[in-house]
Amino acid sequence: MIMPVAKGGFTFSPSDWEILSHFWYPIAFSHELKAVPIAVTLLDRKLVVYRHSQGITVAKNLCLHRGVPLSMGWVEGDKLVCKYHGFRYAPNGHCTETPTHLGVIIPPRLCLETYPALERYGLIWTCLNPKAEPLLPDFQEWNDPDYVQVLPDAWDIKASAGRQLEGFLDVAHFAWIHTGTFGDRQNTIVPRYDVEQLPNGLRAAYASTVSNFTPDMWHRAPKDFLWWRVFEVTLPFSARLTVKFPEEGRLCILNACSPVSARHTKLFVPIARNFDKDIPIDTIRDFNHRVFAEDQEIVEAQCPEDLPIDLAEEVHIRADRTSIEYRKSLGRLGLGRNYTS
Amino acid sequence: MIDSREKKLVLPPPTSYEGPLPRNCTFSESDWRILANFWHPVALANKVVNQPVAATLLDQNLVLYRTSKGVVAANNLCLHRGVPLTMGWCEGGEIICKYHGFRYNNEGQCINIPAHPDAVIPPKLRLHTYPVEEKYGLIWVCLSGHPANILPDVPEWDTPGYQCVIPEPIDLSAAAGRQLEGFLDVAHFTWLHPEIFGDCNSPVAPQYPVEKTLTGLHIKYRSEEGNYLRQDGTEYTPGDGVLRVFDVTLPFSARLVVHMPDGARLAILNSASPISIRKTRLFPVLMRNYDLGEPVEPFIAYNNKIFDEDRDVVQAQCPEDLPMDQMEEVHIRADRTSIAYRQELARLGLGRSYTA
Repeated sequence: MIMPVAKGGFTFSPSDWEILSHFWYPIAFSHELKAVPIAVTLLDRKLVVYRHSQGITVAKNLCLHRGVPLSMGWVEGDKLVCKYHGFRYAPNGHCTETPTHLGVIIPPRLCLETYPALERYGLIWTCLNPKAEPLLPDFQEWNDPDYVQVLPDAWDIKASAGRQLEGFLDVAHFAWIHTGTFGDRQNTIVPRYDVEQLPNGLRAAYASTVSNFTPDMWHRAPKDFLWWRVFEVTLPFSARLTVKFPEEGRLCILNACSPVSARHTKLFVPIARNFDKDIPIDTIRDFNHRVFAEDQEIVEAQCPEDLPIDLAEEVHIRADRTSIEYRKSLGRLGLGRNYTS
Repeated sequence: MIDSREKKLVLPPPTSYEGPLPRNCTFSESDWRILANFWHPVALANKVVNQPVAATLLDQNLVLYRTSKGVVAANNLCLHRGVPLTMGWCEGGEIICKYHGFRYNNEGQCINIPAHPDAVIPPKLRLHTYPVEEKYGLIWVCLSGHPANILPDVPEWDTPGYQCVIPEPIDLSAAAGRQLEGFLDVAHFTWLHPEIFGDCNSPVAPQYPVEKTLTGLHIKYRSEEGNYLRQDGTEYTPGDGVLRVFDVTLPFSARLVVHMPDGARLAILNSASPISIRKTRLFPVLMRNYDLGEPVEPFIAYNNKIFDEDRDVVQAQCPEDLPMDQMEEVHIRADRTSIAYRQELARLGLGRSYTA
């Protein structure tokens, strides 16, 4: 049995890491990124991120001189300064000054490895492979003035990103796990629905009578109202959900996982909706935090911890069509060949 | 299986259970397959009532739940999406998974999928279950499904005139073999338990016989150490001496009967359940035919003190695994039980592939 034991800090198999490194992931909130270096981890790689006048720099979080994390330093005139000996790095990663020996020629190899950065939907996104195309999920409602935009807290989950995302796509658990928020223990049946393969993911359109209101507001939907939930997956670990409310109301939720390591996920969930705009933002945030907590307890307990790519490893029911297609899609990317413990 | 002509335990063939080992198994494969052939206690029976109970045996995570047909022991995972069934609940002797409400009956068969109430449920949607025995107030499980030994024989449990008490189990960071050997050791009374068995005035251990039996070992040990708790005020003279009779049931259980001079009998069942290679849950069962009108709390506290004093030493022993090779430690005459116990464990085949 090959276990994904962290050797030298690597929790992924080399082939899984290589595949996952081609994709873009969110790593921080836009509004929190200032001219102050912050430390983040993506796919076991430790990164430093900071904002400067020309944009955003994402780099390996180590000074090349004596291995001190640059996130311990500071930003001065767009340059990142190492706390230990004052080495100064330009936004493109090049070291421009070694204060101990001013005027010496700095070898070109004294250059931080940097990564591309994009700012979308209130989040900073990056990709560890410089050749990869920026394929981000679509979330146009984030910039639509007809919608209110809400950013719940980032959610730290001790589970693999695949397990988390699959939980988000699951339509059979509302009646069981979300009874403290919107679920109804009496409404368990999952009608048949369709799943479609897309070039970079999946689309599942699910219609049921499970309300997305909290029980105290169930009366706001007409009797027998058909609730449509449309899930659009962008492989490997993002999905947007559009819930169609009565009277053309739309709730859009982007579930974007950042795989910190094989079994640690940071979840970012920008939300936009075009109704009930007078409800305080904090009320919406609190409600979503409760939903996250209900899911987190389950996802962190699942075993095996890694999402089984081999369909024979778990039993599937008709309600799991999205999950089956999602696992197949991940398998086609080549994931999971070297481990599923 | 017991062959009465040979007068020793006969193991089922090693092919009797070829299923996968538990994830993250801490035992060598051969040790695990041997130990899986025995009954081990996993829980107090009175704790498995209305709701599922989690237990771990030989690194296998189990869920226990009570049904109309007795207690079911199964792998603690719903087959659908890998959620521990102990997060769920029981209803009418059936267990329900918290995540999607899958319902499993008293044989581990899934009988209801609430998302699709009319769908035909495939027979393979059935939990992996294990044989269970309920005896001496304990739930016993055999992971291979082919028990190689019977449960320990404890006649005092069913004898009128005995008071039976089941204290809380005791967790040790130690190998089950080390714990059981400590329970059998007769030379440590005055050293580890001076307040109970007196100071070191009588450290000499008299010679004693050890006999191999069908199920393990039989030891009769007579000595002067005494001072057993008598709550009714009965005078007790250490010099009177006591007879201690140990009956080992391989691999990790033993019953001790202490015969006091006035006909008083104290019986203790010491069953060490191997949670993992160096983690043990000790299930003691206490029985006495005296002090019957007295409260049981002092009786439990008295025995817990002894187990606590033993635990400190057992957890510190090195190597952590009981050495099967007799050359690894030095033995004295008082260790006849320990020598025979190690020989018997080795004969079961244990320890072939490790001694740390």
